[in-house]
Amino acid sequence: MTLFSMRAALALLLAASLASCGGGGSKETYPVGGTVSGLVYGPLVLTTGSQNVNVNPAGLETNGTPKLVTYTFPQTLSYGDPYLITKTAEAPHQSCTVLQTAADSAGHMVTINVGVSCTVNSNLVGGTVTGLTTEGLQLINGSTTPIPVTLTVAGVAASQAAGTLPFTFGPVLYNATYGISILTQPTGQTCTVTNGNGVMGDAAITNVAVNCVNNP
Amino acid sequence: MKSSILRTGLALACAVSLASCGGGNTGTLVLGGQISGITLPGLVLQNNGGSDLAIPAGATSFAFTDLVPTDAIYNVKVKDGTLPANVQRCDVTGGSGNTGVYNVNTIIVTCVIFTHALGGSVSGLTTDGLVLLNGTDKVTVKANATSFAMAPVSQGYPFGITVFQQPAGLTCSIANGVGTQGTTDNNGVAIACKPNT
Repeated sequence: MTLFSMRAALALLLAASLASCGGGGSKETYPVGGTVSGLVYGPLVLTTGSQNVNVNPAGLETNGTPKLVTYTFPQTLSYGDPYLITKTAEAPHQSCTVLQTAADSAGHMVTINVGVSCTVNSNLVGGTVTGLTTEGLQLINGSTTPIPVTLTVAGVAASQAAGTLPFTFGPVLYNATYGISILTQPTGQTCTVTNGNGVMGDAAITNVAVNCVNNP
Repeated sequence: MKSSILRTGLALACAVSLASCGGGNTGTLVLGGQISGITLPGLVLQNNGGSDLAIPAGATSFAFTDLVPTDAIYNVKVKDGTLPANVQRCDVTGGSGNTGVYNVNTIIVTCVIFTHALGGSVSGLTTDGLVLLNGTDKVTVKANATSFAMAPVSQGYPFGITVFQQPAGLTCSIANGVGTQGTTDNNGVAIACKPNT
């Protein structure tokens, strides 16, 4: 009887000491978060487990680069809890990469700091030339592409659509402008540009039209 | 006498070993990297003062035709007097070292092109709203302006100024708005605005 009560007291004592160590209010917790670079448009939605966090841009530095944005998930993790941050919704007009490639567990690192790197999307600008029968036509997108696009009669002949020749300029960032001009007219012809300028959206521009006619 | 012969021999041996270092196709490793700012031909890169490599216009990477040996010193520089006319200078990063046993593709050559102003005169602009483009460069010109300036343009680059948005009630036309940037500031673009009829 005495022995039994002593055992019970010991068990109680153990339980109490365990509680004070591991459980209860003093248990160690780990916030889950990190920094996002290059974020210009929002929100970017990040997920770990059943938690989401919306990350929004914080404006630009004086040098024009996007400010770093810090994010934290609403609930903290306990020691040993797994986490794997993924992208549930892409930032609009951007491509973001979460720099965590494999699941980890809280407490493995002193703090949980998962970086995310974002870049603004860009798309090509292009269109078609019609009526070109002589050599010499050069198109430019202002000073944005240092080497003009040269269109040739051979190119027209090789083009699948009779009498037309597609052309493409290098990529333009979302929300940046483009303006196509004729740097050099072909010999004996005059070409004009329609739909030649605009603002880049989320898809390639394909409607720039250059029509060439023989000089009178 | 004896020592002088020895010295001559040593000098010869040195010369031979230097020659094998400096030029020629003497190895198995590729030596190269990235290059930017080359819009005209002319630039020549050298390794250890030889193995001339001409860089064509528009190049973004380079690799010496001459392969280099393993465990050899390389030292890549721009050959004197070969900067293209529109290039102010070229900086070489990571241009020297020891090849070790792997191809070297980490050399970065950054060429800086001279830039000059691009702008000109404006007449008849009595309202707000005129927006000009030179490719991705966008400039808003306010009412009553008599001049405008786009972002500076690299020497030898083309430029083509277009009207992105006409001012309220006016139509503006551009003279001398297309061309190739020369060797001085270009303030010869003329914009004339007239009331819509």
